[in-house]
Amino acid sequence: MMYRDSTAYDFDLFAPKAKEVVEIPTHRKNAKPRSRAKTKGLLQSRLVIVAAVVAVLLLVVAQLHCQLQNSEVVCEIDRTKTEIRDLKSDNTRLQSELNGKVSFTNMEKAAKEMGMQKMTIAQTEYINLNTTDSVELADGDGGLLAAMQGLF
Amino acid sequence: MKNETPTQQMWKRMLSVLLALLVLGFGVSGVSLLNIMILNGNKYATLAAEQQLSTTTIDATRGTIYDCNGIELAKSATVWTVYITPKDIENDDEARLIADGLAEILELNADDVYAQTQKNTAYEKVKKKVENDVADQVRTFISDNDLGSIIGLDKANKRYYPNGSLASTVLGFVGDDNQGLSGIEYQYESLLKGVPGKMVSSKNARGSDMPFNYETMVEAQQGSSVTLTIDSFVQYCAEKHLEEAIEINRATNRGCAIVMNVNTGAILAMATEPDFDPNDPFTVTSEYTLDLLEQYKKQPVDSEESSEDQQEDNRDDNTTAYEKAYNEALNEQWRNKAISDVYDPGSVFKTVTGSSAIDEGVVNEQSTFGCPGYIVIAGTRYHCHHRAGHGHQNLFNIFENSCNPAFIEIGQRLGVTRFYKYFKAFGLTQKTGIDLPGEANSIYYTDENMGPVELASESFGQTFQITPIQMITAVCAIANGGNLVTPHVLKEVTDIEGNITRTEEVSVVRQVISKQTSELMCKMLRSVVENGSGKNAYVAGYRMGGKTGTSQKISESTEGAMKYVASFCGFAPADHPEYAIIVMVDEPHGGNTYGSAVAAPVASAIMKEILPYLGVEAVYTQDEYANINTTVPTVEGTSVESARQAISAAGLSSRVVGDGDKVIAQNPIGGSTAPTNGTIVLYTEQDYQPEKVTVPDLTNMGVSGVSTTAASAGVNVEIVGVVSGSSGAISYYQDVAAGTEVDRGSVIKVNFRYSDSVE
Repeated sequence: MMYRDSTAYDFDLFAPKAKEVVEIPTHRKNAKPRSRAKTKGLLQSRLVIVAAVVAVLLLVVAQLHCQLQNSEVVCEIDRTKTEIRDLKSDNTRLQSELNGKVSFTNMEKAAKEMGMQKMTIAQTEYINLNTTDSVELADGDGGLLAAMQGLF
Repeated sequence: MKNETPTQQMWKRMLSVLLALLVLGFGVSGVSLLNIMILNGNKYATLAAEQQLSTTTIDATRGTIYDCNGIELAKSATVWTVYITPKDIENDDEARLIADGLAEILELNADDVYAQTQKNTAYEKVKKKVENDVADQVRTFISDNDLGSIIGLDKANKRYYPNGSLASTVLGFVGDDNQGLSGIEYQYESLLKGVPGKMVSSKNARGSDMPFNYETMVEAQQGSSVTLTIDSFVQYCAEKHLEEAIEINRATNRGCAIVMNVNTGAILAMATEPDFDPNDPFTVTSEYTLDLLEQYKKQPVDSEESSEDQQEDNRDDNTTAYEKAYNEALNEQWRNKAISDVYDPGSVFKTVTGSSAIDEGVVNEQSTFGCPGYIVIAGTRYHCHHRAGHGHQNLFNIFENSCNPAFIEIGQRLGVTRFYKYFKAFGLTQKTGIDLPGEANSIYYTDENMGPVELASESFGQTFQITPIQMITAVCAIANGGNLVTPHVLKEVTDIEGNITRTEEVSVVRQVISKQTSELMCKMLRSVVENGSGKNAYVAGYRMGGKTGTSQKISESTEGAMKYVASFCGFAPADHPEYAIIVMVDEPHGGNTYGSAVAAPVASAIMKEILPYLGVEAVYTQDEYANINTTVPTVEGTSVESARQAISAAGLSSRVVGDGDKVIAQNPIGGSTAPTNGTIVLYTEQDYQPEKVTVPDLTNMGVSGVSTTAASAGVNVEIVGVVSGSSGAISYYQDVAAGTEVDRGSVIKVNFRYSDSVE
């Protein structure tokens, strides 16, 4: 296609091109250079965040640890309760055996074999005690009340 | 929109399809989940729970039964049920191992256990009520052989009765499921049983535990504890002496004894012998019964013509007959005779007739009666037990002599209406209401069907039947001023923390007779024991009052083989009654069948032991004081001379053996008792050898005969049952058998009784 223009002699092509200017955003244009203090603050905040996260994790771990200990204690309690129950049963069984051995019948038989005898009614002495209730008041030192009473 | 390349478009389309598939897939899952978890969530959760969870009942520990002093009479403790899961047994070797191991530990037959391992079930009980020490052995066996998924232990409860057969017919016993079957265990089942708990745990389809542990438990609530009015020592004394009496008198239909508080109705002892051990209630313990059962075991005589099948049938019939008889014997031994059996009270009932007549004013202290030896009522002749007749008697005499014609006459004077009115007022037409199961109803004539002959018979205690508990309750009313009280065994109920939740109060049903009538009756019944037919019930220092009874069991007797019931009912102290006692011995065959000879001595022996224990003060008369045993002074280590003096001062004599100056040993030992005028042997040389003497036969003699024979033989005698020096009493028992070698000076107890033929 033929162009009716002066491309061959288009001196515009040889004209210096305008440089492409990339506009810098205003905030960056107006931005002040960062100070050392700000950098330091940022670092500190990040450290705080990390510390907080670590603290939370530690709390969680501590909570889990407590739960674990609690479960262990509960298990120990259950185990001990079971042991107590078993020992009580053994105690009942052994008490029954013992009571059988020290029954009135066996006691009488053993006592007779040892030459003992039951106390007879002739060997019982009766003592008369004062059966009425009585109250004994200790002698007081006097005191303020007694002194006041003494005035009258 | 930017122009996209074909590749980008393809990616987009692919992602869209993928997203659509994801949405579709998850959507379907979501809808399904929505349906399962939300819309039908409850339904599926229930099904899952039913399939995955298994519920095990946790038995509640049964409450404890105490006596009135807090001594445990019945207590429960945890035991174990050993079970196996046959479905999980992998092979025959494992089954054999389990069978042999468990059989050895649990003392079972290995073949029986092996048979259980062959069953196609998830739960087979191998043994119940296994105690902790044996359960520990089972656990060791399980862990050693890694059988945790096949053998297991379930918690259960076992009932212990630490005192064996003590008060067994009162306490009763429990069944396999710890439910009360008789006695207090049955009566107070609702209080004792507690509330069962529940354990829910996760199981797989085969019934084994899931890999994860899930279980939740609802604790069982222990039952309340029950304290009885029964006193263990009083119960023991009653059972001991009753058992002796049954053996000595060869009673074939058991016996019973009750000790009751006259004023409150509290039962301190209720004994029936022979009884049983509630730790093993399904075993017959009576030697007499076991001898009778032997006859069922004897093989029948098989004749040569009998076929093998016939012989086998005979043996089967015998086994069945034995089993049947054994079961009947078991029921018999569980039966509380004191409340469940009725009997003709005999002459003991004369207390009711007499007090009714006195209260109505029909007779009084000045009344007199004549006894020619019989009385005729409406053409029927009633003989007195004293055929020659008692002659002229006053009111005291007719009780002392237990004169039948006199009481028949009193009954006639009362008349049917008034007699029946008091019969009813004394509670003899209805149950006493005691808090024990199985109380029997009395059998009697009502006023509508009682004619003069029936009235005559009932006046002296025949032709009607009441229970021993009814009789003693009526006698308590006579003794305590006229109040009919309700007998009871329960004292209080406490919860698991020891708080008292219920207390049994004294229940007075009605006033039956006046206080004055009661006081007069107490005097007369005291006279019966001191001067009359009740002499064998005498207890020095305790003013015992009471009445003997001997009744005929006409309906159960055969020609020439009359059966009797011997009984005694009394109370002490007669001037201020506190405790009453009744003793009944059914069908004695020891030669003497009278209540005065069979039952009264038992009552005396029991009261002699329990009254001091219960704190009743002894008040001796001059005669009693002169004849009570003396405490032997301790003279070991003293010089022979001072020993003699001390012994003489105690009213005893001494015999010195050896030539030493000091007393090395004495017999009887210091602090023991010896009869007045007894002899103390003093040994004075080291390495002394006690002189040995042979105990003579001291039975069937009077008091003086026994004293003389004993003195000649070199032993001392303690007279039991009568006041020393009294005449008419005959010895019937000595605690050291004749022919036994004992040390010189040993004290032999000899029991005496009056053997007059008095009912």
